[in-house]
Amino acid sequence: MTTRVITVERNVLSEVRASAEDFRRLRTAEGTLVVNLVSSPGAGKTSLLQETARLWAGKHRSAVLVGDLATDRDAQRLAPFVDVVQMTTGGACHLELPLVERAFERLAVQGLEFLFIENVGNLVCPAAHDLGEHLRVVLLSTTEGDDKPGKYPKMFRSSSALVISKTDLLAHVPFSLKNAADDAHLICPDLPVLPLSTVNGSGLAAWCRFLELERERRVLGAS
Amino acid sequence: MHEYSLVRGLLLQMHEAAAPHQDTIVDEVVVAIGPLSGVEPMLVAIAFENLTLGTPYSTTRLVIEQTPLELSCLTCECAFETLEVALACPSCKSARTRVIQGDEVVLRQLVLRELQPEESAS
Repeated sequence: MTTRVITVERNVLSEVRASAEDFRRLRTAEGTLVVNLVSSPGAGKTSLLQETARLWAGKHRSAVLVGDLATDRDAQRLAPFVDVVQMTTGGACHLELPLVERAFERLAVQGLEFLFIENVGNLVCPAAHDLGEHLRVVLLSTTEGDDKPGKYPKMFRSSSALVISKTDLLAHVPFSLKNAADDAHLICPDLPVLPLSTVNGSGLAAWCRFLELERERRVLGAS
Repeated sequence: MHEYSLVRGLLLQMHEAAAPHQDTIVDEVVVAIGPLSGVEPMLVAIAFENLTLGTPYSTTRLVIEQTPLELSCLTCECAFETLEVALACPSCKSARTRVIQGDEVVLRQLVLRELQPEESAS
């Protein structure tokens, strides 16, 4: 019996990566910064997007694609402030690019400066899925413990910024901003850390400025 | 990472690679999995077994190579390898390291066998 060895050496994920690169390149050409917001459930992604949209009303053109397993609750919360499309995964625990692309087509808006993708609340699975974003922002709230970054290395390593949310609760929880930042920097040195609170508004101006600068750097500078 | 969708992608690539070789059966497929790929080898094996049932690949042997994570330290310039997820330089403890290899899943090779006259290629 003759056997033949066929050398392939092909990355099994390569097709997905190529498509994500395409999405990213198209958005850059259109002047749109794509931001993928990830976190555990309840860390404050929707609240942050709500406040960002409120602050940017009349100033920046933005839109949100929000992903959940079920319901359109987040889309309903955001709709008064920003163009939004709800993606429901029906059980999948993370978003994948095809779902995002279809939702983006439904959005059908021109001249977007910022496209936010609010991922499913999950600190594990979204780490492995490139949604064509320029910026992956991981949110960690003060109620989740300051030792989490080291426990989720792939997520924190692949992120471009760490938002520490719910800083209004710092007086009531054993959370150290310094410990969380140091832990994150063991995984991803130079990761920008942005503490904020959507309840008292602290840190929101810095967050908005950070996004504007990232758009200048990654999209406007590039095209 | 999701081993079932990964294995579906793997089976498509196997099919493409084997297609030019008429009248052969895939005896073995070798896949390399890196520690930072987010993929669990045991779950890949289970998914492969389940997804190949009733297909021409049901007798294909899956061989998994666990490749090391190769990192280069940007602080002290040493290069190091580890089979685990460890991102800090073992020499100078700096976290300023660059991943050279170890976050991929690679279809390395197929071993094809010519079909005997009594076997069919259905």
